[in-house]
Amino acid sequence: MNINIKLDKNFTTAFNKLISEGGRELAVLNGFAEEQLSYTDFIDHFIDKNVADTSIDGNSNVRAKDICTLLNEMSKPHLKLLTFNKIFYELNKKYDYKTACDWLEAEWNGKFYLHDGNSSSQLSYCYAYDLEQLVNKGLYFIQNFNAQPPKHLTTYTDFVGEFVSWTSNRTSGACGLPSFLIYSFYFWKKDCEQGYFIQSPEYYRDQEFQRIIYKLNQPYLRVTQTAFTNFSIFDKSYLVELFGGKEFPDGTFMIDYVDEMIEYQKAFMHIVDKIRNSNMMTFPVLTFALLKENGSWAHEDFAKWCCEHNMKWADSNFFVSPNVTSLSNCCLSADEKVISKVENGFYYGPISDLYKRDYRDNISAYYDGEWRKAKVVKLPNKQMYKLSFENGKTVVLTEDHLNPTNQGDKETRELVVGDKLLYHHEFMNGEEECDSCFPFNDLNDSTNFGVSVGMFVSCGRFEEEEIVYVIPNSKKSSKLINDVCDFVAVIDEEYSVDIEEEDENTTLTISSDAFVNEIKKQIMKINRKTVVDLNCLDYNSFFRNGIVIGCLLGKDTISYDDEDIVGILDVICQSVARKTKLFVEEKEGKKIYTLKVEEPDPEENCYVKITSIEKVNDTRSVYCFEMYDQSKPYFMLPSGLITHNCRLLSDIEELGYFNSIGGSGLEVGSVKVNTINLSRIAYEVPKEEYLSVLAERVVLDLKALDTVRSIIKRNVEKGLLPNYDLGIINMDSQYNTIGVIGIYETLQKYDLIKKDKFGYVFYTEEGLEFAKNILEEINKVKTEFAKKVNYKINIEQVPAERAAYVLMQKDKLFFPNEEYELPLYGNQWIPLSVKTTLSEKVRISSVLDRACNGGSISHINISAPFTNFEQAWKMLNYVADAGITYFAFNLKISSCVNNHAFFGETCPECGLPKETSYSRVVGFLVPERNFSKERKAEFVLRDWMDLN
Amino acid sequence: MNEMIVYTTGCPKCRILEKKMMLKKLHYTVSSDIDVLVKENILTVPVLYVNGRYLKFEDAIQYINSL
Repeated sequence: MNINIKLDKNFTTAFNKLISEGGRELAVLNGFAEEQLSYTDFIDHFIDKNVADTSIDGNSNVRAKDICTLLNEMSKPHLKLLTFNKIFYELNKKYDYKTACDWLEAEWNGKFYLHDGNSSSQLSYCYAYDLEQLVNKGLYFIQNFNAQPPKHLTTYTDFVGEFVSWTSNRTSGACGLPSFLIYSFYFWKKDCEQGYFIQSPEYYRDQEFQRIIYKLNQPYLRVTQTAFTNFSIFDKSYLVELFGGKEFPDGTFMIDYVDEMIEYQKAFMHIVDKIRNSNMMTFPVLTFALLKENGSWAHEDFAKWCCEHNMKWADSNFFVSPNVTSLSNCCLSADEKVISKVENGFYYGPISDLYKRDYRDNISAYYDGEWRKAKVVKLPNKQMYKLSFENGKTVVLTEDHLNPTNQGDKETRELVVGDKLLYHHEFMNGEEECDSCFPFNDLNDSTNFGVSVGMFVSCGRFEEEEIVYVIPNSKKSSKLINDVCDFVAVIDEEYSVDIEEEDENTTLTISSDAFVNEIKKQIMKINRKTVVDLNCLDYNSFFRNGIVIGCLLGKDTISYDDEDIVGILDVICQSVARKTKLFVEEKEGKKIYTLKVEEPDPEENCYVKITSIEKVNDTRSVYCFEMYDQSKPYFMLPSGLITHNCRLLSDIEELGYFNSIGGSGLEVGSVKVNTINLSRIAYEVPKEEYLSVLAERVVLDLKALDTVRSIIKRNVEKGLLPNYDLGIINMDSQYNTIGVIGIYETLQKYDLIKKDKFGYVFYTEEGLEFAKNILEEINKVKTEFAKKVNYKINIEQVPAERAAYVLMQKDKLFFPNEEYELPLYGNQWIPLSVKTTLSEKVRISSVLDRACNGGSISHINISAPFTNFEQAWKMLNYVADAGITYFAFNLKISSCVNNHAFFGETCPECGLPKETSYSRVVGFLVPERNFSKERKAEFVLRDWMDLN
Repeated sequence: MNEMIVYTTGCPKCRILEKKMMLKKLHYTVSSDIDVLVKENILTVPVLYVNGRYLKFEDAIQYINSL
């Protein structure tokens, strides 16, 4: 009997080729070996092995082994096959066959690792949910159920349990619940006011805490495993920012209860601590979110409390942010000229003048093929810098203005001479015009009309009812004259033309009312001089290109003694992808501005090099555009420079700090993670070629993630994911995540790691620089890609529980002669099994965490709990002050057969010996006995710092 | 009662502050002009001006609650 699964023909061909070329070992690592795809073989193997070792997607969170696990794990290879088939098919459709084949080959051979491979075409990854809807509507997401809002804390606790199960079964990753304790507090307060509690308010509260903790650790919330839940414990600044603008269901204001909520959070943490003594729990993963500004804790007492609480089990992560929310000051000088579309045309001029207009909140700025809605904002002054570029142009910006460069966005103060800034280099509105009927359907007529207008600005004048052009003689002058005459003939049958050729010039006189009227419509006066009306930006590019040709009069330069006229012509040149250079010289006390115009070059580099940076004293206010669509936060200046917008932050939506490791703000998440094996590139090519290969791999990764996102979007449209339809998850606030692994091994391969005589490992200076370059390259490619899509992309150093092993095994198959120091790749900048100093760990993390946008966690392994508060407090401050945003101290916590937690060899609770130990295998506390065999081998090698 | 001005951009916290003031039946004027905010060097919103002092959100709430 044959059981058929219908797969795409192209996929089958590519798949079979990989199977035959790669051999059995590779097929096993991919979960596609014959015995893995055979249900009967799977059942036979399942009985004798650990689940993490039999599953093709195992993790230490799957602890039970019974019929449910078997049924769940058994179909994973088939689901993965269907998923890969779907992604391949859609990649081929959306991009091309080569992209689809390249992606499949990269996944198969270990250049990439697609997380949750078996469900990647079905579910999205993770999300931090706001429980507001649950509080107001109850279990409204369950069909045919007369849902009612919870009235008491007990119901709320139960509803959250149902919510976690329902949402976790419709995603493959973490379920963040940052607002759980906030609403828990509300119901507790209400119940206590109404005398609805048992024994005492505190007893009732603690019972409910106990209930939710036990509930969240039940190993069936996600069919066969516990749901990955996380809670955040906020300091006062975070509570005010996240919840200060919200009301409880009864209309009371959350801001009025901030102090009580702080105490409520502490009470919860006290119960977490107490429960560990009698039953070691993994979930929820806990994060303290604390604010530290200018070296001082915003709420030192609370930070101290967190530090002290964490001393016992070291069970919480720390997210220490330098600011919760701030008013951005990302701006331009008052004199900086801008181009924008306004209510009755276009505006070109100083940004400060535009700010004075009534319509300043309703303008559009140009970026990436579209005029995008924006408003003008004004802010207090700051240190300004003048940047000069290789093309002779300049810009004056604040020190903290964000500038898109070829290495990602950089603040002005971080720029150095030689840095390259993003530059407009495409046809405005696209080369193939959608509005080609303006001004004429016939594109030749449009060009000729443009030539007539451009020549008028350069060498024309009105004389009564005629237009007179005095054209300098050149090789191209007769062609220009013909173009003008052809156009006049199109719009007026009764025109007359007179051409008079002299030594240096040819005078062309045209008598035609229609022609005079058409020209008049396309020009305007600036400083009493004639210039092309900027409305031409709404017309087709043939017209605008004609204007440029006409203005140039056969030369390649345009000169005026007026900066604005040259500025406007520059905008028109930019709009037809003409690269320009500006020269300024003084002649007879007058400044002459000359624009050198080049032909469009599709291969043209879209960056411009900085040639000088100087400080500027300016005490005036500064200005910027704020784009309404923050997925495209850029706009174009008249010089063609692309720059970043400024955002006034006053909304909790802006607090979207996020990583899937355990902490995040409200309502943020990730659609999917596809990890790039960085060490593989090092094995493939020499260091000089590393970054270019990496760039290609990032693009392929982004295309794959983009396709996965489209597939999931389609699933939503088909009604398969009601969590989106019901507004429980919003895909707009989910990232596509590029995972990274193997930076340490990359540096090792290129000899950029050194070891001292005590065996401590360090990055060399060059190594740290190269690691930074790797992350910057990924950022750069990501930034470019993000301009073409309407969602956000982030980078994460992934926990890689299984990926770390699979990718190394694949590398061993392809590069058997390389040295593999550890049983699997590290998920830290220096793997936990490599001996290093705390100061080195902190030094590297403070540089690389930032380049990874906070999508990484530093685990600091300590051999024993802190011995006193002073030690713990000093350590917390040391790490936070070094600039590490997200970190955790990691201990080995013993547990006995009764799952009591303790330190040492004998349980103080029941007297039984230690049976296993809990530690963060990758991100959360799990018992060592559940680790896969490779993780166990790695765990043995881990280095634990002795603080004493 | 002294003159009270609420500096606002209409953010959720701004709305809460105004709601509280309305519940207390307080008379106040609203300033949402970014020019004025900049002139007064107000960098976060909302801000309450009262008794010659500028109060940030938390302090403003505390003040309103004390009335």
